[in-house]
Amino acid sequence: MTVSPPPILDIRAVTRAYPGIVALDAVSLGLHAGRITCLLGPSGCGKSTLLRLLAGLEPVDAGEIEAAGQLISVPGRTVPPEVRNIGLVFQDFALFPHLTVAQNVAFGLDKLDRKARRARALELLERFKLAHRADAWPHTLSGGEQQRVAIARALAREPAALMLDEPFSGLDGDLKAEVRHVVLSGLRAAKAAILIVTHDPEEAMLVADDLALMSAGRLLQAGSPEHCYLNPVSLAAARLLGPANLVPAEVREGMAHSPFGDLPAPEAPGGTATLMLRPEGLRIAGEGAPVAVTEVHFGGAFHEVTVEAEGVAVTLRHIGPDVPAPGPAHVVIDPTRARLLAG
Amino acid sequence: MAALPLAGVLWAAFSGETADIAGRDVLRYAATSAWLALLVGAITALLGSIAAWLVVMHRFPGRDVFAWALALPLAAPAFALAYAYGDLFDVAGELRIWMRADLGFDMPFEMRTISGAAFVLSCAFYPYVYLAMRAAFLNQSVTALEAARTLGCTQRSAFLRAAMPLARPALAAGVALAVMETLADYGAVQFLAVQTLTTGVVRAWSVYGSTASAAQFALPLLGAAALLLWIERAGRKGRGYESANSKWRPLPVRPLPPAKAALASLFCFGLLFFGLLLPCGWLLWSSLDVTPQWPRLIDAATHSVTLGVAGAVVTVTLATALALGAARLPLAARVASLGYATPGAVMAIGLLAPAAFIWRLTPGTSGFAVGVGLLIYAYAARLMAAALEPIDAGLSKVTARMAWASRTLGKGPAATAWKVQLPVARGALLTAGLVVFIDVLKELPATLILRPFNFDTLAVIASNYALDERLPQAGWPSLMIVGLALPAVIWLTRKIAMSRPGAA
Repeated sequence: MTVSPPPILDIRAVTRAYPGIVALDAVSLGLHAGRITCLLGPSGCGKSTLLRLLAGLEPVDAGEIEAAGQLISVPGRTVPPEVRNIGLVFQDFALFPHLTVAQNVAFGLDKLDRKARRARALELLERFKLAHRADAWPHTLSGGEQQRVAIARALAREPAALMLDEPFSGLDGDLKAEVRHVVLSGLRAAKAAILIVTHDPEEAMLVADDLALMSAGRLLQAGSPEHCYLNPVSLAAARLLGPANLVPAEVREGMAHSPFGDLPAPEAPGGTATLMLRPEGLRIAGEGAPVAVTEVHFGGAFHEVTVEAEGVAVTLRHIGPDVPAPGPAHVVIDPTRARLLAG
Repeated sequence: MAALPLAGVLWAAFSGETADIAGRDVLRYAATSAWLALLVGAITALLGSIAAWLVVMHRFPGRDVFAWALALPLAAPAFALAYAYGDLFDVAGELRIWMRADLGFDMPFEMRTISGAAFVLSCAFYPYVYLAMRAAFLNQSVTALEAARTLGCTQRSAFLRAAMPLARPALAAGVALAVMETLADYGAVQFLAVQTLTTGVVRAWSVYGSTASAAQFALPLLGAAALLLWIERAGRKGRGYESANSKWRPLPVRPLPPAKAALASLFCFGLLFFGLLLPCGWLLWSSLDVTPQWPRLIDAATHSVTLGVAGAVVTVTLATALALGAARLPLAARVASLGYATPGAVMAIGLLAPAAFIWRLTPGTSGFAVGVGLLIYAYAARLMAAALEPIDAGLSKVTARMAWASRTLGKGPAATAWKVQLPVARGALLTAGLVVFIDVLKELPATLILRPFNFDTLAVIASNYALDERLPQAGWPSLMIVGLALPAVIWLTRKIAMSRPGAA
């Protein structure tokens, strides 16, 4: 991303506090047209609050939100939700029970006449493979279908930005992948800036063009999924994207020494540090650091292996045959999957 | 809005001349009211709970009809029942003369006593307990009962040890309603010559012409109303007793063996018989001999229906506005419910003082318009809470997120209310309107006090005939009220009977 156009939705140092808790603490984030941004964080970290602020359902206490060059939220002035062109899809979909599917989708299309509204609704339903349910009542639809109706309804007004709150959390396994595919292609076709809130790291990385990591009301890191995964700025950021082993290390002369092997660290200052090892960043090998395999568990596509050295235990993922047995072994560190964190 | 008449009562009670009737009499009347309320509370609690338990958990002939028909006595005003029973079981009535002469035996009770009044009012008000308990039994989690059974309870002890305690809040709420109605009743106790606080209020005002004395009778009623309201609210807080998350399964309905089934049918039929069929039948039978004064009756029926519809529209409109704004004004809803617990007579007395003030302020307006306006105001103030409850329940189907969704789809708050909240709650609005309509038709004391001169409703005519001891004549307007209210009650109860949470 060398020369990126200005964000369509620009969140600048936004703060929101409730009595006794700061839900958002100076969060800055930009959303770009045609790109999908995933906001990842544990529940209660302020993700949903951010959505409500963007939609105009709540005021900001400090900072500002700008949409297409216009300030839409500043302390003391909040452009009401119906005027800002931002769509929001709720976790429980919030379909209107008294309207059919097509009427739900057409709800926001006041400016069109009857025929045009219906046509636009059907066109959107078609995009989400739901045209055959146009005249059904919402409660007769499956969860996945209801969600697509909610998304179609939000897209009907061609919002500049669309936000989805935990869109895939209610769906299970097989269905999830399929629904995700239909939904994502529909979303991409809309060319709006998309913000998806989720607490599932795998989902976030699969879906996102840009990833934003949040914890306890703060934005920890933003960037491409790969960059965030491999170069977490902090322990908390690393943990958000998946399991990570933490190993005490000693940095001397541009090299970090740990019980599981060494890692080049040309820029790190000397002294103690923490080595972050992804489970796939440590490999059982014929040579390397001597360890003791203490536990082996079958995990489907991989084996989960616990190894111990100098009193420190880490868990790694072993893929392929030659499953190690408990007892002495050797490991090597994959330098692309390991990072040195300060402290 | 509901607070104005309440303040009016307080103001009137502590100002102005009191008539001779007050003082010691208040205590005597209060004791009667309390005793009557206790009796009616106990009887309705027993009858209503048993009926609800039978209908919800057992299968016996006629069960599906009884499920909704047991609530039908709500269509009959209590005074109509009092006229019928007062006449039918009168010591000097044909039935008892015949019994004494031909059977050599007399019924061991007198209608014109507190126990007679308790019988009549229990027949009229048991449906409140029945409906509350029925809802509670239906809402209870099947698993709680099943758990009780697996823990060694028999069917009966599961009822006593699990179902009843779980339904206790509903029982409190239902009985509180029945007692509120008992305290508010004027027509029935007046006819049966039982002197309660409400008759005291009306007498002090109509016979002695003292608003201040009337207000003094009203004060203990207001206190009782507040207490009952608190009980009812506390009962409502027990919503936690209903397990919201458990999956709904059909309740296990137990078929009864023939003998017990016959008893169950007989019990339910007995309630319906004494609550509606017998009194209405008797009123009809004894009215057949007299030619009704049709012009007067039709005139009054028009007034009743007009007031009912106007009251319903005004009350539902205000209640909807209140419900939509309730999040911002929690106190308003609380005050509105105090209005419901306040007897109509008290409400009317409370309105008299502010009314006189308005009158002086706007000398040009006709007394008729002011009278009708006040009357509708009194209905609205009294029935606001009754309308508020279904409307609140209806609006609660609109989740906050639905409203927000509408906002992000370009609708302002007003458009959201109009296009999302009200359409979703329209069934509830109709329910609320019908509840108000039925209650206005049956309302007597407030109408008596506030109506414009020569403006009669069916209830007023019935009461006037009854006071003149022209009971057969009183039968016609009473039956007309039942006839007008019955379709609305049937519609309501069938709707209630069919709904079970979790069923689509």
